[in-house]
Amino acid sequence: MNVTSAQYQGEVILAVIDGETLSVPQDPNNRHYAAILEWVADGNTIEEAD
Amino acid sequence: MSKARELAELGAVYDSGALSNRNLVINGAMQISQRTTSDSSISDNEFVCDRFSLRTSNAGWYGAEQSTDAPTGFSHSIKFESTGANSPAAGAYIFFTQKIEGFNSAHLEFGTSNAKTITISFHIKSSLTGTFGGSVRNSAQNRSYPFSFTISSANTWEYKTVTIAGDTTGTWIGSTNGIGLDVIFNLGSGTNNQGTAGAWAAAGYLKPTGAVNLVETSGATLFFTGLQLELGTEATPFEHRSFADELQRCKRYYQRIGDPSNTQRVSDTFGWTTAIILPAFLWPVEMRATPSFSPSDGTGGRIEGNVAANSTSISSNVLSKQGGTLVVNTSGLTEDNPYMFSMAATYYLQLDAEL
Repeated sequence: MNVTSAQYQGEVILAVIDGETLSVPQDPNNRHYAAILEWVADGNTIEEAD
Repeated sequence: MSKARELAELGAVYDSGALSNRNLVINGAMQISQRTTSDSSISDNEFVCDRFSLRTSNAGWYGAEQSTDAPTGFSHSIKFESTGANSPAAGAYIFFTQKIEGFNSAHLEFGTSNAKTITISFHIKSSLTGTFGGSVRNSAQNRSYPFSFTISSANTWEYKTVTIAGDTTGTWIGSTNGIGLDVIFNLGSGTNNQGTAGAWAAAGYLKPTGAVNLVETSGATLFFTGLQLELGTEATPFEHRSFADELQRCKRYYQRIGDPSNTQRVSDTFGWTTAIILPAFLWPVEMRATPSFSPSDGTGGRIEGNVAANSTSISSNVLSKQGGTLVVNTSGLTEDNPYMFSMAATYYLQLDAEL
């Protein structure tokens, strides 16, 4: 999966993955959250909520 | 097949403890396609028929569609078609797979001395002939069993079975909502991802050595349906479940809320601010894990009360396996005033908890 941005929104993360905007829960069993964690491990940062 | 033979096979199935709910595969008859029924250029991790993940390191090398070309006893199949004559690199991965949830495969007891034998059966038709294959793999992708089968006649439906002695070593997820096992069919993976057929290996192989790669022949086709994975040494007739039952099972992993034909009034709520309502939902089916949420677009939502307005964007700020709260943005609302949230026909909300 190609994560291009991520920002906290309440309990979830608003992320653009493979060109689609998703609300992603912080659940380790969610495949999109796993992709975001890999993206963060690669040196990227989840933006704070507005 | 003789009656005596049929009774002997039934006895073997009974001994395995699987006279009902035998098939661990969901949507094996390819009847359910909630997302789309066709995509001529597949990217990695797409779905056409529910629960079958289409994987590719090379986007656009094949297309897929839900087809009504099916063998006797089936109404649908999934069709793959190669878009060119491509040579996969050694590390390429090109395959389709169903990941079976640990809760549904724990009784196979893989990774223990009690590991059970499983049998995989399916119907397949291809414009190519030769030795094709796939594999069974664990979640850590460090145990796999490449298997092969032969397609003898081009463009002819054939029935195949593969029996695999369970893996007594390695780490296999037990009774959890993670990946219990991965059933893989090759479409064009590279040589780094191949291993000896008919043996367990300490690697995450995707195919047996020398298997035919569909993507290497322009316009080559492959149809596939009736996938069954069951406990025991015998391939029993495909377990046809009702459409409703199969759809409910699929919705544990992915579901859409919305009616393609009618406007739906889906939730009563109130103006959180002058620009936001927060309609709450209970999902029709509890999901495997907390799902990701996305709307088909941001502007198909409708807010009705002392004003009527379309949404400008929709997201979620609270999600769980059973429900969630949407953040619907618009303008011109009155704080604390009651509003109804509705969705235009063709508009939908999608929830994804796939493995």
